[in-house]
Parts: sequence; C-alpha cells; structure tokens
Amino acid sequence: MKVSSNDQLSVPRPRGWRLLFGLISLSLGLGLLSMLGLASNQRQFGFSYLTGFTFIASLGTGTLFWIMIHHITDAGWSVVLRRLLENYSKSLPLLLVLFVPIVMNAELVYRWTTSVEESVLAKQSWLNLPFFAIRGAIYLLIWSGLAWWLATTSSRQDATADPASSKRMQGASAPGLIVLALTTTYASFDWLMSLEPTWSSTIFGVYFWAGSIVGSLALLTLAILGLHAAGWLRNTIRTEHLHDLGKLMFGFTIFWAYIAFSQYFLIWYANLPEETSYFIARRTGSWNGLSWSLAIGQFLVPFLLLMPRTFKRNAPILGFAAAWILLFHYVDMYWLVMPTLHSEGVRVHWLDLTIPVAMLSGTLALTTWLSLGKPLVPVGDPRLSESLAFHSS
Amino acid sequence: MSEIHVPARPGGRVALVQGGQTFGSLTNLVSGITEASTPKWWWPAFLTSLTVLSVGVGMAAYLISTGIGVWGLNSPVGWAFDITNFVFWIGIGHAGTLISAILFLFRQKWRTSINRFAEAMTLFAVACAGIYPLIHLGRVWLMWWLFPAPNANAIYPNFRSPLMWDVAAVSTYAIVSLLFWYVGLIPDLATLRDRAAPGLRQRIYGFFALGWRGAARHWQHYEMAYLLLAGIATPLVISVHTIVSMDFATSILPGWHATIFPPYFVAGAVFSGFAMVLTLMVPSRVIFGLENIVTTRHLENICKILLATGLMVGYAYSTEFFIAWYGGNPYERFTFMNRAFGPYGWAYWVMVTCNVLSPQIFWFKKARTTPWIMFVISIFVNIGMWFERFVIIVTSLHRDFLPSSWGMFVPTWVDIFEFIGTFGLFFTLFLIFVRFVPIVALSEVKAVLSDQNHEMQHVERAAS
Repeated sequence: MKVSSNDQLSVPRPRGWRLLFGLISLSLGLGLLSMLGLASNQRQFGFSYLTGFTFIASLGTGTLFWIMIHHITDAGWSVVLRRLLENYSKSLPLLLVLFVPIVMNAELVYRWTTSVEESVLAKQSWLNLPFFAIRGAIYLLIWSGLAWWLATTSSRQDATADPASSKRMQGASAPGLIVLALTTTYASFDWLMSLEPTWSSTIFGVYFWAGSIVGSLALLTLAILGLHAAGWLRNTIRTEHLHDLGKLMFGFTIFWAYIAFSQYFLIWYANLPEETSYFIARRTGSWNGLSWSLAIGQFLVPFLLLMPRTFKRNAPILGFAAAWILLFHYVDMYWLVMPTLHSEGVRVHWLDLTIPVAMLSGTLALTTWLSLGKPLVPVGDPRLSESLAFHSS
Repeated sequence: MSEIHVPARPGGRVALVQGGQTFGSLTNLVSGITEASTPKWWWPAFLTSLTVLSVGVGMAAYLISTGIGVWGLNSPVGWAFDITNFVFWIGIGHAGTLISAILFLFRQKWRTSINRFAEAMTLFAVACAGIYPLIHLGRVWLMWWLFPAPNANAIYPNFRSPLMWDVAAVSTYAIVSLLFWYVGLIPDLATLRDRAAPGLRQRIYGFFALGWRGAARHWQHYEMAYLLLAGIATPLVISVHTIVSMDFATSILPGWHATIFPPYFVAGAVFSGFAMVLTLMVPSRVIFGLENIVTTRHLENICKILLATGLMVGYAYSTEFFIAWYGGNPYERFTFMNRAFGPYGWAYWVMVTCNVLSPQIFWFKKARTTPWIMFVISIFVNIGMWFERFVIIVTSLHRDFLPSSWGMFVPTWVDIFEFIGTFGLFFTLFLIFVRFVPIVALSEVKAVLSDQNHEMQHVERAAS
C-alpha cells in the first residue's frame, strides 16, 4: 500500500507560515508579558517558571521516550506517527536556553541554595548551584543530542529508503533509553524533588516519567487532530491509529495512578514524619482540594472517558480526553512545585497561565519551522506500508 | 534451512512459524506429544521429582509436628527462607501471566508459541509459593483464621495487615490464572478428544473440552472470554507482586520501606519468570521437536525482555542506594552499606552479578541466538533473583537498630530440604503437564500461521 495520493503529506508553505507566525506572536507576546511578572514578583515568577519548564521538559522527554520505544520494539503500526514525534523532539535544544533562568532564579526557588540546616548541608556535595547547573546542562544536551540524531537519521531515510537506517536507529535506542531513564530520573530529583531538600522518595523519578509519557501522548493526539482539522494526513493517520493512541493513553493513565498511589500509600501507611511532611503540605487547606482534583482529573475522568471503544474512535471525545490529560499533567507539575511557595493554600497567579502557554507555543513554533515543506510521515521507512494498512482491534 | 520472512523483502519480519508447517502438521506435532507412548526418560524424571517432592512433604510434616523452631529463624531474623522462597516462586509465576495477558493486549503474536507453557509454569509456581505462608503459620490447622469467617473466638483478621491482602491477592491470582489457562485450553482439548480412539482417553478429554465443537458461535464467545480474562489478569498480576512488595514496604524498616518497591518488585518478578521460561523452554523445544514453533526469534525476544527487566531491577538497586545517601537518614545509610559490605555482602554481590551484569551478554546477537548461552544466563538469573529476596529480607533484619540485638541467620537442613522439596513439586506437576496437556496453544499458533500465509500470498500476488 502506498501513501494515499490525495493526502497532503507536508504542511503547505503559506498556511504553514501563518501558523508559524501565530505561534511565534503568541509565544513572544506572552513571554514579554511574563517579563512584567518577573519585574513585579520575582519569587512568584521563579516558581511559575519552574512549573512551566518542567511541564515542557516532561513533554520533550516523553516524546523522546515514545520515539525510542517504537524503534526498539520494531513497531509497525506507529510508523505514521513517528515523524510528528521526531519533529517535536527537535525543539528540545530550546530547553537549554530556557534552563538559564532556572539557574538564575535558583536562590529564590531552592531552599538548599541558602539553607544552613545541618540536614541540608549534609547534601551539599550534590545540592550546590554549580553542580546543579552542570547536571541540568548535561541532561539537556543528552536529550537534545539523542533527539536530533534520531530525527535527522529518520529524515535522511526519506530519500534513501535504506532499511539499514532503521537498524541504526533501533540500535541507538537501546542505550538511548537507558540514558534517558537515568537522566530523567535525576532531572526530576534535581528540579522537583529538591524543592523540599529534606524529603526524598525512591519512586519520584518513575512518577515524573509516568506523567511525562501520558502527557506527551496527549500532545501527540491533539497535534494529529489539529492536522486533521486543517485537512492534512486524514487518510494516513486514521481512526485505527487514534484508537491505539487512546488505548495507550488509557493504559498509561492507569500506570500513572498506580505509581502515584504507591508513593502516597506507602508514605501514608508508614507514617514517618520525615516523609509525611510532603503530603501534609498537599493536604492542608485548599491544597487538599487540588490533591483530590488531581486524583479525579488525572485518573478517574480519563479512565472512564477512554474505556469505551467507541469513545476512543470518536475524534471529538478523544480530543477532549487528550486536552483534559494535558491540562491535568500541568496541574500535576503545579501540585509538585507550588506548595513550596504558597504553603497557605492554592494561589493561582496569572503567570501560571502565561508562562506555560508561552513555552508550549515556543516549542511548537520551533517544531513547525523545522518541519515546513518536509513530509510529515517517514516516507522512506520500510515499515510504512505495514503502518498504513494497520487495523486496530 | 533458511528462515522464512514475512513479507519476503527488506523490512520483512522473521516468520513465527517456520519449516513450512501446515495446520495438519502442527496438529500432529503438538497432539503427538501426548499421544505417543511414554518416552523413556519420562518415568525416571517423574520418579526423581516425586522423590524430591516427598522430601519436601517430609520436611513440612516434621515442621508442623515439631514447630517452626526447626527452621533457622531467630530474633532479629524472624523472616528468612520461608518468605524468600515464597516471593521467589510467586515471582516466577508472573511471566506466565505477562506472556498470556499483557503481551496479548499488546498484540505480540509471538506469545502464542510459549503462552501455554508459561501459564502452566505460573500455576505450578503459585502452588509452590502457597506452601510457605501456610506452613509458616506453625499451626497450619488454624489457617482458616486467615479468611474473614466470623468465629466464636471473636478473633477477626486484621485487614490493615498487608499479609491479609496477600491471602486475597494470591488466591484470586491462582483462580484467575487457572481459569485463563483452562479457557485457552478448551479448543485444544477438543482436538485431542477428536483424535482419540473411543475409550477412556476420549471420554476424559471430552469431559474437559466442555462440548466444544468449533462452531463460529463458540469461537466468538471464546475470543470475548479470552479478551476479558486478559483484561482482568493484567491488573491482577501487577497487584499480586505490588502487595507482596507491600509486605515489606509498609513497614518502617530501613531497607524495606521504599516507595519504589511496587514497580521494582513487579519488574523483578517478570525478570525471574522469564528466566524460568527460558530455563524450561531451551531443553523442552529440543526434546519435543518444537524448533519450528518456538523459533530462534522467540528465544531472542525472551532474551531481550530479560535484558530490559534486568536493567529495570538494576535501576531500582542504584536508585535505592542513591536515595539512601541523599535521604540523609543514618539508619538507611547504614542498612545499605551493610547490605553491600557487611557479613552478607557476598550475597549482595551474587545478586548484582547475576541480575545486572550477567544479562548484559544479551547485547550480543550471538548470545541471544545461542541456546546454551541463554540457558546458562537463565540459571544465573534464577539464582540472582532468589538472592535478591534473600538480601532484601535478611540483610534488613539481621542488624537491628541497636547493636545489642544484632544477629545472623544460618539456614538449617530443614530450611534447605524444604526449598529443594518445592522444586520436586514444581517438576512433578510440570512433567504431568507435558505428558497429558498440549504444551503449545495449537489453535492460537494456527491463527498466526493463517495470517502469515495470507500475507505471503498477498506479497506474491503483488510481485507477479
């Protein structure tokens, strides 16, 4: 089976430029607006910025995870989806720039930078600003390198249609996934767990990863539905593929809940003061309501929405579920970061809206720019026909 | 003989059924194993297993009649071989459910050649595991106290104890695994019935085939039942080892209380189970001539899963160590230093070598395609995963918070022979299984072959 000839395989220039212009304006506009917030309340800005940054970073690492998992399992069904993931992952180097303000604001955000408590000082060999900055740069360089190598190798295959490229990408994905697992874990320890420097949890890296893979699936689903709405790729990425994305979102929604429950439950049950502090903060005042909304919003609602077969094959419902998941993935990041700043209760600031939207539209703008005029499916992949003919059950 | 690829061009996958098989030849091959006269090796193997089993029964009888003091348990090491062996066997069982349920949901068709075998292994491993909590009760005749039966003593089970959840989880798991296995067996039992000459054999297979006639309506119900059971078994298998991990992790003991335990134990269980599948499958496929059904591709996939899950447990080991330091709790730090460099340090390094280092050889295709190498590694992993449980349980207990209550655990001969006895039970059941039940899911492999032939024809037509 060939790619359907009546399907537009790349974003046509004029419309693509309009989309790009829109995204850049949105990103710059909200970015500049957020600068006002920086001037007026630097501490709030630091925390809102960290929330937005970890949200965007999780979408990038989640995307990279999906690319490599599809390579390593030699998946056939998902080939038509892979280029969209690859294009998004090419925006990862942007995070290197976005990481600079994290380091600059670190003294306002991370208590361990200034703390003189004995228990915090004991960790100084790990929790110190230069090492924190270097580690962050290393994680981001690794992710960017992996993403760019995989994406460009895949693009080159468009012309050559060389099966050996697939083998090379598969081979690189095995060590790639190991490196990704370790760097994501330690990134989550550094950026999120160390907000409470006396608290630790061995499952924290898995928790962050679980959220990131379901969030990036939701983003992919929304991107596909967006392209479909604009009239692109409709005959290439079909209901069959969306159905499978729905199944994966369903499965990993449960996985996230499983990990979140394991962490909460074991700490609650053992009831050790050094561990419960984290959840006491999140069950005090209006944070309790937000914790419940997370359990309902990131687990129960998508769980019920994505269970019926007909819902997974219905674009509006699937799109709603994906948007919902992405929203609650952001709430999850907010829930991890903000209790440190606003221990008195949930205080949503306008920066909590402008910063993530500015960052997301920035990464999407870069993605759009890098993919203009190029095929949106890996046309040289030897498994493409398998993916085009795919039938979900 | 060259391997068949589907479709026959670059990017084609290695066919799952090799050697130009037809439906008829598959039926003859698999049914033939149970129909042929008993192979010469079977009786000696069976009698040996039975003897080993009787040793285990003897040990249990001695323990029940004398008391659990005949084991090496002491204070502070109140749990040792009993729980280690329980977790070891339960873990082995998990691969069967993973293959039959989770790989089914992920549409991994290669599972069809090994799922029957692995599910049987699950059932036997769960049977071995179930022995330990029962005999560890000491007064095994009071085991019904574990169930929430109202009783005159006004003693009611403590539902806040994870040990109670274990009773519920493991027994539910055993029942669902049995049902899942049996539902999958029905069409194949009917095949054996139809091939048997009139007589007792036909009656027995006929009884268990539940009147299966292969009608379209039967298949429709069967497929739906199978999908539903797969959907139910998937969360169930994860819950079982999650709850096993909670036996430890809900405590406040350094070395036991870690939030990563649930996924870490599940990954370890799958790892150990796949190792056992490989240990049994490598010789079995040769003995029963199944090389065209359980192909090199199947073995290679199992090796890859071993490598992946081995890395997952390695991730958990390293994360635990890092957090033990990072967390700053002196008891936690001590427990981990003691684990690696204390009196049981050798056990820790056996664990790391077997579980994390030895599977690394599977980065090489040569190792993934050479049966004897994978057999050796699978034995290492079995040993390593046993030691993992031993290390977690014993090293966390033996050096208590106060040095005055430190101690050591040394297994007694009863401990050791009881453990050996469980292997007797496992292999006795296993030998009965291979003799009387189709060891490959015949109807499912036929479906794979049918798809394969269909695709080949499609490609040939397109080429001509």
